[in-house]
Amino acid sequence: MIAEIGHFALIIALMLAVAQSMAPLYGAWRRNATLMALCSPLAWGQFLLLGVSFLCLTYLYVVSDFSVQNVFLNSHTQKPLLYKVSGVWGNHEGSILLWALILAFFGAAVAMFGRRLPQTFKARVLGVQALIGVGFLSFSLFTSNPFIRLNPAPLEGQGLNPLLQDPGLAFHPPMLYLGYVGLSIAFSFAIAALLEGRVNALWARWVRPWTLAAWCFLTAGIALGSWWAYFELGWGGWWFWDPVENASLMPWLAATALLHSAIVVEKRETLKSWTVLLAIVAFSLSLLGTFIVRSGVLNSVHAFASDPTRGVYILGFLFVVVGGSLVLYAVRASTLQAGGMFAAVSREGGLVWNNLFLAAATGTVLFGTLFPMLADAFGYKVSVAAPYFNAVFVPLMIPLLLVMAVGPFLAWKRGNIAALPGRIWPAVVLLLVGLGLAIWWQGAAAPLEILGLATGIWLLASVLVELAGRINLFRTSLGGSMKRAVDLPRGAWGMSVAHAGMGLVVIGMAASISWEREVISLKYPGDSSTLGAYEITLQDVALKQGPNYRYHEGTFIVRRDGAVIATLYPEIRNYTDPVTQTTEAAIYPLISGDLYAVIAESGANNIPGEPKRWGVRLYHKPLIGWMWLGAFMMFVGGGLSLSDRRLRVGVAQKAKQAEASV
Amino acid sequence: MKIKPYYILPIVVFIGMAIFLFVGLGLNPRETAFPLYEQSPPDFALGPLHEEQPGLTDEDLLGDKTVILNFFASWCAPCREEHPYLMALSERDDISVYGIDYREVSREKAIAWLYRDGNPFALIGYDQDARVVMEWGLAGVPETFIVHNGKVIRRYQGPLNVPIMQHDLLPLLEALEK
Repeated sequence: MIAEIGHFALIIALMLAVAQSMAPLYGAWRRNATLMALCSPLAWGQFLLLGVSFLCLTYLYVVSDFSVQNVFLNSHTQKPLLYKVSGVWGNHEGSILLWALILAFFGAAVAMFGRRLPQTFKARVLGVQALIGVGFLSFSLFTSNPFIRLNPAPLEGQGLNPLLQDPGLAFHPPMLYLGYVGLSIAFSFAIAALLEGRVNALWARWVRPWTLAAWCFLTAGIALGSWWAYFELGWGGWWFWDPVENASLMPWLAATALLHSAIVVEKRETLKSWTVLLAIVAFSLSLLGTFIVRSGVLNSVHAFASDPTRGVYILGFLFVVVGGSLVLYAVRASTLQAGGMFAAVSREGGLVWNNLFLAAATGTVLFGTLFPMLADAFGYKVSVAAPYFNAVFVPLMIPLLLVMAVGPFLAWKRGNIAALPGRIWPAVVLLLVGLGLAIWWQGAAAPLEILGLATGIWLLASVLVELAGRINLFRTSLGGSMKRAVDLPRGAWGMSVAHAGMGLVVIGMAASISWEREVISLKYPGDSSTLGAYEITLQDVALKQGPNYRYHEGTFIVRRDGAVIATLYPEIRNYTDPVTQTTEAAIYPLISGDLYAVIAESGANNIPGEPKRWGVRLYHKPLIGWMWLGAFMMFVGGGLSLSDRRLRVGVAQKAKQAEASV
Repeated sequence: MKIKPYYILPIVVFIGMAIFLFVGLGLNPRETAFPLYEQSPPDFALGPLHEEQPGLTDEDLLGDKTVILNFFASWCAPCREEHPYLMALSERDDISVYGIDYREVSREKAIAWLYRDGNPFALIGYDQDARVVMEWGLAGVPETFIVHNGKVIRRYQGPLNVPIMQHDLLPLLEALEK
C-alpha cells in the first residue's frame, strides 16, 4: 500500500511538472497573467508530492519491506537504522528520486523567495525548472522505478555495499545533489534571461545567492567524499582523479567561475554573455556527471550498477537540455549588451583571469575524463590517470591562486599597480617566514611541492593582510579596528574566510604530499615501528562483534620520547550480507598532522603454533587536517556571503523598482 | 537577427562531444582501458593454497596458451555465481585457467569449497596480503583478466555472466584462436 502511494505520488508529480513546464512559459509568451500565476502552486504541489513519494520509499526501507524490489536489493534487516535510511539514496533508483525531490525543492524555494521577481521572469524560470523535472521524473518512472514489487517477497534483503556504510558517505550524495541540482536554478535563470533578452545587475543579484548556495553544498559534498575515501578505503589517499570524482569537480570549478563572473555583471554590467554561458555550462556539467556515473561509459572504482538503456536516456536528455539551451544562446546572446570597459589591471581584470584559469582547468579535467572514450572511438586504448592531471591541472591552479591573492587588493575599473607593493609587502614577509618555518620543521622537499606550499601560504598571508588593511589594523586604535571589523559587510567576510580556507586546503595538500612518511610491514603483536619522531607498537589484535559485522581490532600504542601520546584502533570488518571485507583506518589528529594506521590480515609465512603476523601500514601526514578545516571554512565563507543583507533586502527593493518600470 | 560566430562555438563543441558520447555508449566499456591494458603482467610469486601443490608466478602467465586469471575468495558470494563458467572454460584445451585466492578467512574452507564444487584452476596462487591484488589494481573480488601473448588484454570486474560470456569473452577467445 505504501509503495503504491509513493508510486502514485510520483506519477502525479510528473503530471504537475508537465503542466508547470507548459502553462507558465506559454503564459509568459502571451502575457497571460492567469497562466503565469499557476507556476507557484504547481511548483509547491510538485515538491509536496515528491516529498510524499520519498518518505514512502524511506518508510519501506525502515520497515524492511522486501516485497519492494529496490529495498530487497539494497537493504537488510540487520543494518543499523542510519544505513537503512541512507540506503534509500545509496542505489540508482533512489538517488534519481532524490535528484527529482531536490529539484522540486529548489523550484518551491524559487516560488517562495522569488515573490518579488517580475512575473514573466518568474514564470519562465519555473517553467524551465519544470522542463528539467519532466526529464528526471520520466527517467525515474520509465527506466528506474523504485516502487516495483516482487512476488513472492523474499524473507531477507541483499544488503548495502559495506563500503557505503559510513556516516561520511551517508551525507555525501545528498550534499552533492543539493549542489548539482542547485545549479539548475542558475541554469533556469540564464535561460529565462535569454528568453527575455535581458541581463543586468539585478539579474546577477538574483542568480548569485542560488549559485552560492549550490557552490557551498558542492564544496561540502566533495569534501565529504574525499574524507570518506581517506577514512574508509584505507589507501591513505584523498583524491584519485577517478571519473566519478572528476564528475563532481567539474561543476564545482564552473560554479566557482560563475560565482565570480556574476560579481562583475552585478558591479559593472559587463561579461554578460560569458556569465550566462557559464550558468548553462555549470549545470550541463552536473548533467554530464550524472551521465558518467549512471551510464557506465567510463571505468571507475565506484561500483555503481550501470545500465546502457539508462545511459541512452540520460544522453538524449542531455542533448535536448544542453543542445537546446546552447542553440538559444547562439541566437540570443548577441542581444545582451555589454556594459562598462575596464583596464587589464583591475578587480574585473583579476576576476577575468580567475575565470580564464578556472575555465581552462574545467576543460582539462573534462578532456582527461572523456579522453579514454574519445581515443576508444578511434581505436586506441588508453587510460588517463593522476600523472596527466597533476601535470596539467596543478600548473593552472598555481597562477589562479596567485591572482586570487592579488585580486582583492585591486580597485574596480582601473587598479593601481604601482601602489600594490606598498600594500602587499607584509604578505611577502609572512610568506617568507611561513615557508622558512615549514622547511625548518619538516626539512626540504621537491621544488614543485615547495612551490605548491608557497602558493598556499601566500594566499593565506594576502587574505590576512587585505583584511588587516580593511579594518585599519595597527593604523587606528584596536577598538577602532574592532568596530570596523564588525561593520564590514558579511560578503567581505565571506570572501576572506573562503579564500583563507582555500589557502589552508592548498597548504594541507602540499604539506601532506611533501612530507608524508610511511611504514609498511608485517608485524607480530608486540613489535614496534619508527615513524619520524614516533614509535608505534602493535600491542594486540582482538576479534570483536559489531552491529552487523565481526571485526579484528588492532591496538597500536604511539610513543614520543618514551611517553605514550595516543592509542590507535584500526579495524578489519567482515560483513556477512553481502560478504565483504572492509578496512577502517584509525586516525589520530595531532597538531603536526595525522597519524594514520591500517591493519590487514596476513596468512603468508605464518608458522603453525606461533603467533600470527599482521600486515601493518602506518602513515604520518603532516597538516592534512588543514585540508578538511579549509574546506569547512570555504563552506562557512559561502554561507556568510549568502547571509549578506545586500543579497536579501537589496533584491526586494530593486525588484520592486524594476517591476514598476516594466 | 545578427548571430555572431563565437556565440555558435559552444553549441558546435557540444554537438561534437555529444556525438562522441553517443559513440562511447555503443562501445564496449569492457574494452576501454585499465592501467594494465596491453602491459606485461606485474611481477609476482605466490605460494600455493594447498601445500602439496605448486603456487603461481607471473612466469606462468607468459606461456603460449591464452590465460584466464581469476581473482576469487571462498567468502565471496558472486564468486560462486560465476563458478560454473570457469568450470566450463577449464575444460577447453586452448586456454589455461589460473586463480588467485585473495584474503581467505580460512584456507581449509577455500580448499573444501573447491573440492566440493570442483576446481577450475590449473594453478592457484594464495595472496593473503593482498599485495598482488593491489598490483593488479583490483576494486574487489571477483575479477577476471585475460592474458594473451604476454600482455593483459581484458579485465572483467564483477562475476562473469551470460552477457559477458556470449558477447565478449567467447567471441574474443574465438578471435584470438585465428
